[in-house]
Amino acid sequence: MQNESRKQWLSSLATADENYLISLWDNLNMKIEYNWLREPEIGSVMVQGKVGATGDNFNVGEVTITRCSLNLDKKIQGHGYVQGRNKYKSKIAALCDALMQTEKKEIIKRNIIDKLVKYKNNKRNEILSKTEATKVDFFTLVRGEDK
Amino acid sequence: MNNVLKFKNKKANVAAQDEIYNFAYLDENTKRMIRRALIKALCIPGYQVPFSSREMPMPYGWGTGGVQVTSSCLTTDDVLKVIDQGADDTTNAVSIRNFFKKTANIETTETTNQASIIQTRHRIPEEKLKEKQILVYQVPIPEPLAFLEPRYQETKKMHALSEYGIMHVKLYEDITKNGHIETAYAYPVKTNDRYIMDPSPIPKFDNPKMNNNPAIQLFGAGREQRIYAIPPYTEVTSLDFEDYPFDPSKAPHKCSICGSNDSFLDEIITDDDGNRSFICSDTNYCNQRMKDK
Amino acid sequence: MYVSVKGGEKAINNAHSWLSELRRGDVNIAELNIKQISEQLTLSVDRVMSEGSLYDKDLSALAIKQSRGDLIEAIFLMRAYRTTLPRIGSSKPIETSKMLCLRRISATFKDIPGKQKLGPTFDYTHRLLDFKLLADGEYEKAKIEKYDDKEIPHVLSFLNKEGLIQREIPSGKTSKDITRNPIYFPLTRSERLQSLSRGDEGFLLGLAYSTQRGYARNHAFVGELRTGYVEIQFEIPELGIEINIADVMFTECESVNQFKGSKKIPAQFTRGYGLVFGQLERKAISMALVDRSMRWKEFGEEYLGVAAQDEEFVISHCDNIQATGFLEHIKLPHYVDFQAELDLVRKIREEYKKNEQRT
Repeated sequence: MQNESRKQWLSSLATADENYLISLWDNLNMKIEYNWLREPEIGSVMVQGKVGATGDNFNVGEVTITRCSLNLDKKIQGHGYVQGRNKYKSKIAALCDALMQTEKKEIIKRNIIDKLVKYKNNKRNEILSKTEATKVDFFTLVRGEDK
Repeated sequence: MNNVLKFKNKKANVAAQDEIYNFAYLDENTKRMIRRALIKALCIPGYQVPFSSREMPMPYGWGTGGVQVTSSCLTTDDVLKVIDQGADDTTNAVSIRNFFKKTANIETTETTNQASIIQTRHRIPEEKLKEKQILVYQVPIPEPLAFLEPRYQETKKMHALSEYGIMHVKLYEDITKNGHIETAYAYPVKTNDRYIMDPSPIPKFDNPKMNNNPAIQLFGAGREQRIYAIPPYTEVTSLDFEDYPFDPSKAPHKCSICGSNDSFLDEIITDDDGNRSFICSDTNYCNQRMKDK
Repeated sequence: MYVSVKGGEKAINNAHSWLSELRRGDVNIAELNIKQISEQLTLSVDRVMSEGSLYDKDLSALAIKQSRGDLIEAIFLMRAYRTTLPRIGSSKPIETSKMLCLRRISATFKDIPGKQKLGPTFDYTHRLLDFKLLADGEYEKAKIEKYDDKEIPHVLSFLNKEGLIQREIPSGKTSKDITRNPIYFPLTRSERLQSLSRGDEGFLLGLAYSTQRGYARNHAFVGELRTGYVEIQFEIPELGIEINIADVMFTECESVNQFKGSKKIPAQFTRGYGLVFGQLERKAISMALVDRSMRWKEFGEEYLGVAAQDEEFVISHCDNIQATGFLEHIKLPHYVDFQAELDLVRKIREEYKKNEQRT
């Protein structure tokens, strides 16, 4: 259960719009002490497709990723794996991941994670509603009472 | 390290992130992979070892194979010389030398006998090489049979079986048609009496220098993803026939600068009437001769 | 008498300065910024990411700016940068059936579950120059409609159910990365697809077109074409948790091709597959057709000796960075080789003259 929710917040942080995430974090104006376990580094992840959408894997190309790891104290570690090449975004993601495991969880959830989820949902809705407007309607199922 | 973050509306600064490259550009794992290919190549002289060529920040066909081999061999103590067409000052030689100056911060030289690694395109220096020197050739098409059979799937079999008939027939046909073997550069050789090998597009004048050479000769073909090598003191013979022996001929002229009779010459056109003059293609050789005078 | 001078270095530096000045252009005109390129030249950015094999819009826009709009030069910059990136790992294979579609059409069925959705396409625009764009700021806003947020199934999955089409079943083999391992022919289909996905759009377009014109014709239909965002799933090594690490836009094309059947296989439809970064339909369709034509051996079809069937030919020549590098290298100095040829031609001509005089 813990893993499931951590998966959610790590995903939201990873794919967040970088400027939006940075402004959300900066607005919190938090001063956090931490130690680096791995300073931010830029790298890539190879994206795999499937032959014919369902068959063997094949390599399509890479996507840029930045990652870092830190700890707040000996027990709590945060990992910042994010899309793109922004080291600051990665650091914020790691800090948020760490803080989500502390008593500051609610602050981070309310002020950052929930907002990221909402932002992404809005984007998704926008695409779906625009796509829908370009639907080619040939047939409509007519319900009985409308006959 | 204990950091306290004070975030004051720091904007996402993507552009300013500094990118630092590894010594001699390639990462250590890649260099290791290339060195393994080089060692294999040295163990089987003339055999083309496939390797996973990387994309370099210079175009394929401009020496990416040579650059990867040089990068994998370079240590901080090395002294590097880069030549193109025998000259240190041709544009691409300048560009590659600057690349290693920038990425490896090593000493460079134009003096052949002071270099520990020499990367070359299309020439072998006139001055005799020594033991412990490495000559790195840039190779465009590593497969000597490619112009007779373009498919690697086929040429691979021919090499495995030493089935070199098509090459001998080609040379024979040249002679029957023209009285000559019509190859002036990239003249095929046989290495250690086993593999037919492309010497890279050096003039055939340079072919004899490959034979029994005290230096290590490494060949890198980046685009074609092949590495091959000649260990020191290895027999390298240019293909020929008993009645048509190999002839490493050159133009019957002297260098207009140093007067050398026995070096390979570039032809330059000196005026609008098309008058010609000849000068050494090996600029370091020519300069040394002038100094000694 | 000639004395040699050092000419190369200064000439190179000065050429670079002029290039830099020309890139900037007229300084009285506002300089392009990266966001302008990534927002307004989106399809160029997509092409550079796809053939550069690296999904990063800002980098792609930077490459386009730096290369003065020469897309192959920009692709080259992306590739060279990509080589220097440490590889953190591989994603889980993507599920294109879960794509957030901007566009989804099928040429094989009029109506399909999930419907035909045109999305932002040039298809039915009349290609008339729009002089209104000469003035600034003119655009229409996209319309919106209420929608049903359901997964859109692949059209070909309906043919699967009837057994009318060849199925794509995983063999369990892991795919080799052709950019990290040397290529040995013959390749697996996975290796071919990786190579095609980063291959040159123009080259693949030409080859695909040649199959339509009868050079190994295989009667292709666009079974389905979709463009949209797919979540990239990646397992964080420290945690063993799989997260949505990136959102990436893809265009996917599944072609349906006629197949008469062979001794091995009864008549059924066969497939070609195209998958590329970004909104690059022309490329995705071309890729699917070329993929299909290279599968002749698998289906026991006849080898007609044409380019599009020849795996070694196609794969060895579809990479525009390899091709352009080697093609353009012939402008490098070749004094030495040419000198050697000059000597040879002169010698042969002399001998010819001697022979003439003798007879």
